[in-house]
Amino acid sequence: MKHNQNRRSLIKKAAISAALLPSATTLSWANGANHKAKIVVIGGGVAGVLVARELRSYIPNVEVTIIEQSKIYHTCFKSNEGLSGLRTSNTLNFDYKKVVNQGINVHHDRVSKIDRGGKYIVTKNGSKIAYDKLVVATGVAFDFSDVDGLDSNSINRFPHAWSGHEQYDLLKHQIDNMKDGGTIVIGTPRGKFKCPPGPYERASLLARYIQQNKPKSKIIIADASNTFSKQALFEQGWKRLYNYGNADSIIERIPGSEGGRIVRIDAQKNAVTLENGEKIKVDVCNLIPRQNAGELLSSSGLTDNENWGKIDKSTMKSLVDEDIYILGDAANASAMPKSAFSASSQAGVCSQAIAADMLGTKLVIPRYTNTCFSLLNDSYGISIAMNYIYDENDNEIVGISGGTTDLYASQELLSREVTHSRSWFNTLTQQMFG
Amino acid sequence: MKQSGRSYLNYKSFLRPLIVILTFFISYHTYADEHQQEALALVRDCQKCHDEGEADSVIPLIAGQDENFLLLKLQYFSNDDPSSSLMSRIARGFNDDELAIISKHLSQQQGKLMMELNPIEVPGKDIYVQKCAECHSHTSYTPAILGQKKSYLINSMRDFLYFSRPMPPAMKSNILSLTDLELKNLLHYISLPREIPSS
Repeated sequence: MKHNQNRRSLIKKAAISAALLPSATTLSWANGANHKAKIVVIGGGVAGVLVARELRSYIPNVEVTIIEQSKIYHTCFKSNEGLSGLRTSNTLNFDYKKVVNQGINVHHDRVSKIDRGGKYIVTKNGSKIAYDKLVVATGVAFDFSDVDGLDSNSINRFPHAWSGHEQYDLLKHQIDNMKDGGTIVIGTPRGKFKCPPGPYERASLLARYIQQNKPKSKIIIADASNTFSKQALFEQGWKRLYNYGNADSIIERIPGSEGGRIVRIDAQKNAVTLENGEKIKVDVCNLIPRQNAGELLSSSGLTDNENWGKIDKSTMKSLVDEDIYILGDAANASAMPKSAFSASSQAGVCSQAIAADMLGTKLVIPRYTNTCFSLLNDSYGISIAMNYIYDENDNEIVGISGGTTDLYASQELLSREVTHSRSWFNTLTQQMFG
Repeated sequence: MKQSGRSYLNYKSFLRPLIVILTFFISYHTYADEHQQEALALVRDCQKCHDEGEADSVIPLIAGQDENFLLLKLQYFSNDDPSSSLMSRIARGFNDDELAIISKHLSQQQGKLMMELNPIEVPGKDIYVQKCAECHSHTSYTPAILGQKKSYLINSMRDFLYFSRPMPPAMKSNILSLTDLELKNLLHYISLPREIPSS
């Protein structure tokens, strides 16, 4: 059975590689005297792993190396189900064994410097790794400076759980140990952040947890934004499920226009202060900090004025360096939101563009898709989906069709959104780590 | 080797047609490649959800599906689906030419779906042979369903029976004639993973 699975995936890969092989053009990289093309991928998340795997199958005689600091990949997508007890935490963790089995090198290390002139990277452990093409898929970095009192220590008391299993474990532990009658505050950041509907899905699923386990507790969304993704559907669902809008609602939201953003935390007193001056005593505070592409990219001159990777959105190639590609959450790929699906879609475009570049084949017109599911409980799901094209006039990715679940959707359809989201998760993680 | 001096295998007369054939093959191959790549750019994201994998899924397998059926279904999602189903939201962004390319490309992929009956002998096969095979194993415009994901099939049955998904009258009477156990066995038989025949 296993053997056949492998054979099947080989057949599929062979078909894809055949489509990308040049016919009469020169295989400059593959034919070069003893020169094996080297592709280095920084970051082993959705974007990085999928680019690595696709390039490995597209380009013959290429050496692909992923540099990833963590030995376990923790999926931020679906972590809200874990936090609320709808799935076990270990179903969010994946290792890189099968990625290595694909013939991809995986170095567990952190990149400290990109030397664009010399075309090599330097790691924290002192390794120097040369590249022909560099793929930067480092995800988001967190900027603590937007909230007084927030730093690398206090974030552990106010965990974001927006990346990595350590932060997730901290928040999960706090939620599990919260007393009945406790207050959970979810703070959202200003600016672009990954998974825009994520804080509201988290509020929904924690409301379900409260409803079933600690019914005297409540959730406050301290929101930096005025409006949010799938808002009408979320609020409709909260009314149906959690009595939203009434005095006994489990969820309360303070929008940005009413000064809802958290501006200060007090770790000693377990309190947060909002922009409107209100002080809230918290039992659990999930503070999601402001985000950007991080120091590595900005110090290498690869970011725009909002501190996201600056790219040609038809290929994900850096606008300042011919041999660097940036994709996933780290890139400014607007109007696509930062999501796991967006990253997977960009990985396809990016790997096809790199293959065309290295093999001398024709560059095709890219297409992009995003789909993002949110659960309000275990049988109530909503989604937003968008089909995108590239607009070369202003280097923008533009949605041409799409939208959200209908406000009049039946219960059957809402419950199917839940099962669709789980099938998507299983498929994506299988494509990455299976 | 000694025969290579004979006139009908003359080096020059042998080489000329070879060059012609090679030139044709290379130019055709390049042409096909570009189209393959354009198609790949269109269908790649389909596979983000519609992929093989060992787990059961509510999302159907589409690789290797009947081309005409895929096109009809995509045209329905793109133009006629009254609901805001996820597929209709995405499919509306493709024009007719693109839908045709997508259908063709997907139908040419090697997949796990099969039309042919295979030697699996389990309860349910007899019902498939009697009531389904005439269309699902023989007719174009009808989807191949052997090897399809079970949860998807169950949702499809719910759609046909309770949510007004259109189906041919004969199919409706065939489904309604089944006992619960027969329907269960039938779905089990249909959804058993199929092996790709060795070439």
